[in-house]
Amino acid sequence: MSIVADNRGLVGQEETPPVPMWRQRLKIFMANKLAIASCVYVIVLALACYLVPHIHPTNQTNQALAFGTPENAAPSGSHWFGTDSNGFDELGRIFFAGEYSLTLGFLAGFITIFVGTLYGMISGFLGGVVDAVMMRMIDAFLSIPYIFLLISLITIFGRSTAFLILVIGLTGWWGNARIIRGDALLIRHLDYANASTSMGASKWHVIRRHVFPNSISNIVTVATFSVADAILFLSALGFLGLGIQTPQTDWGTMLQAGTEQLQNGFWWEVFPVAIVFILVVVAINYIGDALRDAFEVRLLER
Amino acid sequence: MFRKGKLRLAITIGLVTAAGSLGLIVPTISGASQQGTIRFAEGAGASPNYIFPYYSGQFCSVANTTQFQMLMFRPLYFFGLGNSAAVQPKISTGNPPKYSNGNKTVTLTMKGWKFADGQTVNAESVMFFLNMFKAVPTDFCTYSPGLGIPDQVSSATGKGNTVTIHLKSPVSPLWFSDNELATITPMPNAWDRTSATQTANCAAGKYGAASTTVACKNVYTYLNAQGAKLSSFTDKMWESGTDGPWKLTKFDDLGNATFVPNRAYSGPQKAQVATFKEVAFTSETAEENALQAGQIDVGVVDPSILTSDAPSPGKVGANWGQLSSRYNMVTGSDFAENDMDLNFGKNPGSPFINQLYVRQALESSIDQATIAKDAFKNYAIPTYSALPLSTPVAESAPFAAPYPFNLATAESDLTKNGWTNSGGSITCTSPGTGSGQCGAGITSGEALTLNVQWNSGSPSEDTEMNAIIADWKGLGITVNQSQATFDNVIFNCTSLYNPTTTEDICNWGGGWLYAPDYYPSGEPLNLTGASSNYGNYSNPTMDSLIKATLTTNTNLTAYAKFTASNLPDLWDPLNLGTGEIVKTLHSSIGWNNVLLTLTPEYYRY
Repeated sequence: MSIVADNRGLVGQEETPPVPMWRQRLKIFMANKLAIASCVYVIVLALACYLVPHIHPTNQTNQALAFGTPENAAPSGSHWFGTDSNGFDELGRIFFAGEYSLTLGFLAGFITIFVGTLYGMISGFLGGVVDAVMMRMIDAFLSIPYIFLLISLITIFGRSTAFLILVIGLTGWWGNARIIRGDALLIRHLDYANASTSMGASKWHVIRRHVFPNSISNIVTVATFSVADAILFLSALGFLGLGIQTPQTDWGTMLQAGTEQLQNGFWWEVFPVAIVFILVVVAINYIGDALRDAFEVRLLER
Repeated sequence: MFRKGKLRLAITIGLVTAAGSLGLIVPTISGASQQGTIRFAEGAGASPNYIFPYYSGQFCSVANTTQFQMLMFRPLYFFGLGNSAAVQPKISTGNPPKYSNGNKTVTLTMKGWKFADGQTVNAESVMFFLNMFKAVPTDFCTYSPGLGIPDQVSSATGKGNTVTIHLKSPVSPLWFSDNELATITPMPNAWDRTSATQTANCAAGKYGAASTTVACKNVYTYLNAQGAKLSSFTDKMWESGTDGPWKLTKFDDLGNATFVPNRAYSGPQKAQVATFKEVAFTSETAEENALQAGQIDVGVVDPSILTSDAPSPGKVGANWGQLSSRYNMVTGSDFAENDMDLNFGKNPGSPFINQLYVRQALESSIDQATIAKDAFKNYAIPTYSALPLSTPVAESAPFAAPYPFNLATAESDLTKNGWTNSGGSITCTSPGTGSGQCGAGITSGEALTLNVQWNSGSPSEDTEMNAIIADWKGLGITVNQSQATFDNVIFNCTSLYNPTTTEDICNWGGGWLYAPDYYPSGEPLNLTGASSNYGNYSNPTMDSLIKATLTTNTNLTAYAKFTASNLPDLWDPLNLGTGEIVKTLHSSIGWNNVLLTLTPEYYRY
C-alpha cells in the first residue's frame, strides 16, 4: 500500500533537477561568515602586498638611501606606521615583506601538498611491503625535530629564496602523506574501486579516477593548513635570523628586528606586522575549516 | 696577525660574576681570594675551534688565539695589556732578546717558568716550535715566504735556558722581535708525539736536520688533528702544556669553555676568580638576551639596539636602557685594520677584481662616514689603509684617503674604462687590454657581476653591507649576496682556503688584528704567497715595499700609501665596539685591550 502510494506520488510530482554538487559546496562555504571574511582579508591583503609596492613604492631595499630617513620614527603623517631601525617605512615594509611571505608560503605549501599527496596515495594504494617501507620512512622523518632540521639545512646550503621554498616544501609533507595515505588505503578497498580493477583498469587509472577525486576533501583541507604552516615556518626561520636574504625581508624577519626595538618602546615595529601576520594565519585556517565542511559528504543534499 | 671578529675591545674583558654575592655558583675552593665566576660572551658564531698554538691561517682568529689559547699557553713574548700594545716583559716566558753580529744573531733566554706537568719552559720548548716551523712553515699563520722564521734562519740551537738564532741576513730588530719572535709559543715535551702512545724527537732534534723535519711533520700531523678535535681540548696532553694562568676544564661542541686557575702558573698575576667561562652564541640577539637575563658578565651589544649615538668615535654614549642599571658600556680602539677581503683567484669575478679601476670604483662608493655614523651609531671610524689608525706617527705619517666616497668618481672610473650603464646594468662595451678598455679576461657585453658574502648574526653589519651593496648596484653592478657564519666566511669564501670558491668579496665582520705580527708591516697579509694572504693578492711593488721595511727600521708610510691606493682589500669602517661590563667587576688594567687579548686574571669582584 505504501509502495503504491509512493509510486503515485512520484509519478504525479514534477521532478526537481538535483542541485549541482559544486553549488551545494559553495552554499555551505558561503554560510560560514568567518570564512568569507577570511577570504576577503586574504585576497585584499594579497592584492595590497603585490600591488601597493608598485603603485605607491617606498624605499625598502636601498639602505644607502634609507640613511637619510629618521630611524625608529613614531607613526606620523609621512610614515603612518612609523619607520624601523634602518629608516624603512613600516607600512610599506609590511606589504613588501608580505609579498615574500605569501609567495613563499603558497609555493612551499603547494610543494608540500603535491609531494605529500603523491607519496600518500602511492603508499596507501599499493599497500603491503611498499606501504610499510614508505610509512616507516615517514616515521623516521617525523622523528627529526622539524625546526632543527630546517636550521641545519639552511645553515649548510644557505638561504636563497628558491632554497627556502624548496626546503620548507620538501620537508613539510610528511604529515600530509599520512593523511592522504589513510584515504587511499580506505578507498582502494571500496566497491567501485574493486569493480574498476576487476574490469581491467590499471592502478594508475584507479588512483586518478577514484582515489584522488574521493580524497579531494582532505587534500584541499590539508592544503590550506599547509600554506598556513609554511608561512609560519618561514616566519619562525626569519625570527631566528635565518629568513629570507637581505635586503629582502619577510614578516618573521620584521618581527625579529622589531622585537629587539620593542624593548626600546618602539611598538610600531612589532604590533602592526604582528597583527597582519597573525590574522593571515588565522584567516587561512578559517578558510580551511570552511572548505572541510564544504567537501564533507554528509552535509551535502542527496 | 689574527683575524678579528666583531667582538672588539669590550670582549677582551673578563669579569667576576655577581654570583659571588649571590653565593649560587661559587665553587668550593680553598682560600678566600679566588671567588666567583666570570661569564664571558664569545663572538656570535665565532667560538674557539682550535687549541694547538701552532695554527694555520684558517685557525688564526682572535677567538682561537688571544681569547682562548693564550689563557693557557703563554707566548715567548706577550704583547698587549690594557691600552698598551707593547711587549710585556713581566708576563712573557722569555727575557728580552739580544741582537748581535750586525743584527744577524739573536739570543733568547728563558725565565724558567713551569708547565703544568712540571717541565721547565726552557730552550728546548722554544726549539720545539722553531723545528716545527722549519718543517711545516706554510701551516703557520704568519709565514711569509723568504722572510723571517724559518726562511731567514741559517741555524738555531738551544741549550739550557738559552736559544741562539743565526740569520742569513741582517734584520730590523723591531720587526724581527715584534713579528717573528712574538709568534713563538714554547711547547712542552708532552706534545712531542705522533700518537697518544708514541713519542717523537721534534723538540730535541737538530734544527734543519732531515730527521728533525720528518719527526716534526709527523708530530704536526698528529697535533693538528687533535688540535681541531673539540672533544680533545680537555685531554691531559693539552693540559700538561699549560704555562699560563688558566687551565681548561670543560669544553663542549657548542664552543662553551670553562677555565679554572692554574695553580702552577709561574707569572706574577695569579687568577683572582674561581672560574672563567666563555659562553657561545650564534647571534648577537641571543647574546643580548643573555645580557638582559644577567647570564653574562662581559658581553657586547650590537649598536643597532642603542637609542643614542656615541658623542664621537671612541667616546661612550648612553648605554642601552635594558642594561644600564646592571652594566657599564665601554668602547675603545684596537690595533687593527678593517677590510673586506677581495679574491684574486679563480673566482668568477676575479677578472673584475684584478682591475685596479674596478677596485677604485668599489672603494669610492663605500660611504664610510655615513655607515660609521648611522649603521654603527658612531661606534666606528673610517679606515683607508692596511695600517691601524693608532699606528704611531713615527712609523707611518698620516695621509689623505686616496678614494674618498664619491659616486660620480666611481661611475667615471668604470665608464672611462670601457663600461656602459644601460638600463641599470653596467656592461663592458670596449673589451681589450688597452687604455680605456675593460681589461684582461672581460668580454664584450659582459655584465659587471660580483658575488659577495658576509657574516651572519650582526644587524649593524647587515646594515653596513646593505648600504654598500645598494651603492654598488646604483653603479649598475650586479651583486649576488649571501651570508654565512664567521668561520664559513673564512673557510669557504676566501680563495686561499677554497680555491674553487665562487665568492668574489668576503667580509667576516672584521679585519686584521696585528697580533702576533705586532709591527704592522703586513707581510703575512699582503706578501705574495703568504700564509694569511686570503685573497691570493700579488703585486711586485707591494712585495718590495714590504721587504724594504724588514731589514731596517724603515718608516711604513710608503707601504701604507700603497695599500691605500692599490687596494689589496676594500677598506671599510672599523667597529670600535660596544662592550658591556657588569658593574660589580673591577679591572686593575682597565677595560680596553688594543690587541683584544683576554686577561681575566686581572679582574676581580
